[in-house]
Amino acid sequence: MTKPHDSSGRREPLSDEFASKDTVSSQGSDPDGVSRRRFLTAVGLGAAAAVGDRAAADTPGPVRVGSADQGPGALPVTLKVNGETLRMRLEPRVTLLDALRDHTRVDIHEYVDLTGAKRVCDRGSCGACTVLLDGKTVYACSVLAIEAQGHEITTIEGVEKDGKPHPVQEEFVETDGLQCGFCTPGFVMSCAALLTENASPSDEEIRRALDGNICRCGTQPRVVEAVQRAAERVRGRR
Amino acid sequence: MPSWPKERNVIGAKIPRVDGALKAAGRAKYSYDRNLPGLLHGKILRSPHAHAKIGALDLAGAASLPGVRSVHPIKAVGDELQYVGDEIVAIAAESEELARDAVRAIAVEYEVLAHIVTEEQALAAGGDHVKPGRVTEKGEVAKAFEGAEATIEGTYGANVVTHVCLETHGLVAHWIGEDELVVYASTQAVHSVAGGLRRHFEAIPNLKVTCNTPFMGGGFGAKFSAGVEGIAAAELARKAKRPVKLMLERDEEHLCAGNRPSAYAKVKAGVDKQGRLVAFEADSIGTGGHSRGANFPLPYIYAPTSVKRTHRDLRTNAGDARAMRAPGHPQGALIMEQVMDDLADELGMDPIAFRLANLPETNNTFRTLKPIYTRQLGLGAERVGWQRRVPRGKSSSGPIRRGLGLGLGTWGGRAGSSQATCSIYPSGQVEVRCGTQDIGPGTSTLVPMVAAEILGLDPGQVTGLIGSSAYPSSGGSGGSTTCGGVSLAVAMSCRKALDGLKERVAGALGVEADDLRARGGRIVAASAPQSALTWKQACALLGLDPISESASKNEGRGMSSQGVGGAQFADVSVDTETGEVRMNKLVAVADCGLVMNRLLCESQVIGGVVGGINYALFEDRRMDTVTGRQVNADMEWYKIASHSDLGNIEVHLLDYPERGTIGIGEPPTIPTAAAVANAVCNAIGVRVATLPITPRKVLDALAKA
Repeated sequence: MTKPHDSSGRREPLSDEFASKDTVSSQGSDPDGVSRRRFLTAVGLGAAAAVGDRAAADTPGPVRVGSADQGPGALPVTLKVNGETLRMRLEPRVTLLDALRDHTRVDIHEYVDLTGAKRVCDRGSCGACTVLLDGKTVYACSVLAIEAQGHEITTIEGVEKDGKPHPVQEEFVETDGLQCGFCTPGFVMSCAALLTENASPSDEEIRRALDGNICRCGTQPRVVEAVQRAAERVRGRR
Repeated sequence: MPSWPKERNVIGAKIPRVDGALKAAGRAKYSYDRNLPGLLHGKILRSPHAHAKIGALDLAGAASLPGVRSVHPIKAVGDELQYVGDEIVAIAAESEELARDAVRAIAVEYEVLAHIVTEEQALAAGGDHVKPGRVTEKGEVAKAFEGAEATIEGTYGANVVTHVCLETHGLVAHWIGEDELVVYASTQAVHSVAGGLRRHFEAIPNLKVTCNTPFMGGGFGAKFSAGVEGIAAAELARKAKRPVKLMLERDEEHLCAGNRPSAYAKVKAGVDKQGRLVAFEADSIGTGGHSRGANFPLPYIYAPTSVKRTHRDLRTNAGDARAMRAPGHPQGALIMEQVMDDLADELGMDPIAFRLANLPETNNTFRTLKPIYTRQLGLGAERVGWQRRVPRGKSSSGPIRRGLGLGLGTWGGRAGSSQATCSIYPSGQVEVRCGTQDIGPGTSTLVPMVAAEILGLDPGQVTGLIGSSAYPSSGGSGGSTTCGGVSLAVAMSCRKALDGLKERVAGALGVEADDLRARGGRIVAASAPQSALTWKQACALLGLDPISESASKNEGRGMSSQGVGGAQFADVSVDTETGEVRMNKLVAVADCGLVMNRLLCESQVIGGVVGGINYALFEDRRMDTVTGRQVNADMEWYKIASHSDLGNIEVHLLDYPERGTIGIGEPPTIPTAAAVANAVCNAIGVRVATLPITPRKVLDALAKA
């Protein structure tokens, strides 16, 4: 049974250096003028409820800024997603996936609501939450939101270019490489990343590249066809 | 009697699904994705023990935690917990993380009781763990065995597998005021979920309940009701006066949200000189968890002249079974088709010839049984290269052995109950409402296709509105009954609405309404083709009043039937040194009467085959007898095939348009595991008695031989 999550060599675990990069500096760049983080530290987290309308409310525990220890309470977190800067308050345990799906922005008091990446296995087995971190595919369920700071995050919602779908997305529809569709965003991300690296993949290379994505409806054979057709179009555009 | 149009422009074509672009863009909002202002997150405290009694339960600590907004006890002190995962208390909090903390803070004292989690333990324990079923007897089996030319005996079976819906069970519950409940549920039956919630809250006067499911991430038979978690979410939301999302986590989905029961049978079968099955005796067991049965059809498809069948359901401290894609049939096919191969090999007969000698002409649900199977066996044999098949175990002398095998399956697939409403507007727009849901087969696409066929339009000119209990009642998506029920109701509602439009056009053109035909986006007089209006011109005659007509699928009697067969052929390679089975190719020949959408129909067949390969080679719910827990309640050690595991899958749909619409959801997953098991046996010369056929079992079987 082959299910190598790194079969294509693309799904690398975050190295320590990678994971911690820029975590502190990006927090420091609060554009409010007044550093909200310092303000919150000074008054204690009880006041956080007034700022972050939901996530931070009632969360106990001190925030020790500048220390290696962070949390357990919510912290200011800045994520750059699909070219947009999102300011949030998140507990350190919140995954990138949950931050994108379930949590709110403190700047505009709205859900981030990027729900294209799905939570399915929640432990790096199925690929439904695949997003790009600096152009590399990662399982968003296995990256903490605080780790993802300072990196360029691309979700399925950011794959379209100039309002036009990626060829992979169009070919999934044409070949019916999807059924219930719940795994599809993860598949699209893996397929698009594959074609960026290799615009002429063999069927075998496609299968290997997608072995980290699980589909329960059984769309796999048609996904291979979709990727081949998309690959032709990607090559044609070059 | 109504019938489908003889000349079809839309039905039968390969039409991509209407919601494909939304799904591929990640913009399709599933229940799991639903964010509402002020949304709370629900979690459930579940039994960590396979069998226990609640000695004490203190919710105060958890309820007073910051961020906790409501608590809903499901069980009370003194209640017995029947399996790991049995629900105790539900809690809603400001975030999912806080809800998890709160569940952990609940103080429970358990009086731990002895548990039984495997079939072996249940058989050894006896008592109420073993429930004998009724004995089926036909003819005199003992006598028939005496006169049999050849007899085989064997044990066959498969372990429990779980549905592994990628979108877990659950819903978002939103109360509007005191008496209106709107839920977004991951369900394959919007009307059943709404109905269940309506009953649960029946004490509320003038209660209004709506279930919306525009998109759904897989059900496979496990999602027909709101469930304990859905009721809990609605209760939590009501108490907190805030919307609550409660979706199961992956381990909960394995433990609590249904499974296909295990099935093991000891079989003895005998044939006469002509190779006819004259004696069939089977004693089977299976577990469907702590309160559900595990029976399955056996004998299957064939009709031995004498039969004795006994079955015992085993009660275990594990989550209950639920319908899973073709309930009972994959188990029945797996066992019966292996018996058929063993008999054919014993007789030295070709397995296809042996089956043809034993297939009945017809049965109660499948009237054209033998002619269809005969055609399927011929086509499948040709496509898989059956002439290459060598006798059992004679594949080659090298470490990699190649084998071919086949399996048959059958299913009903009659049209399920459904209503639909077709509205034609003066602007020319058309809306068709049907309270069905699309769980993946493409029902969202079926609705506008059928309407377009009847109205002479393109599918893109029709808006299909499904996925809500606010729309006309339609049955759950189960039993392969959806396609038939929905297409008949939609077709008949559109016919009635079109009749209304024709009345108006007839007056305007000065022709008889009966003379009018809707085709190519026009309403044309058959006797005078120059007399025609465009669809838009025709609809403009409606003035201010849209036409709205409803119909039930019963009005389309004659446009659907039931009873399908499917034949599948597997080509596998087995590494006798590592025990690994590789799929080279699987050929599926399927039948569903009138094919509605060839592209999506083929996808259904491929999906069924993939499910069958998973059943054959990978899926295995493993219970630890000491702790009573499932050790692989995840997607890492609960194995599901990846792309590289599947080999080539080739689909052939036979066309029988005269049979009308028949469902195809379940049939293609029935024969796959049997075909794979027979191919493995053909390759290595010995039977691997039970699914999944893991490398270890292959090596064990070879070592024993």
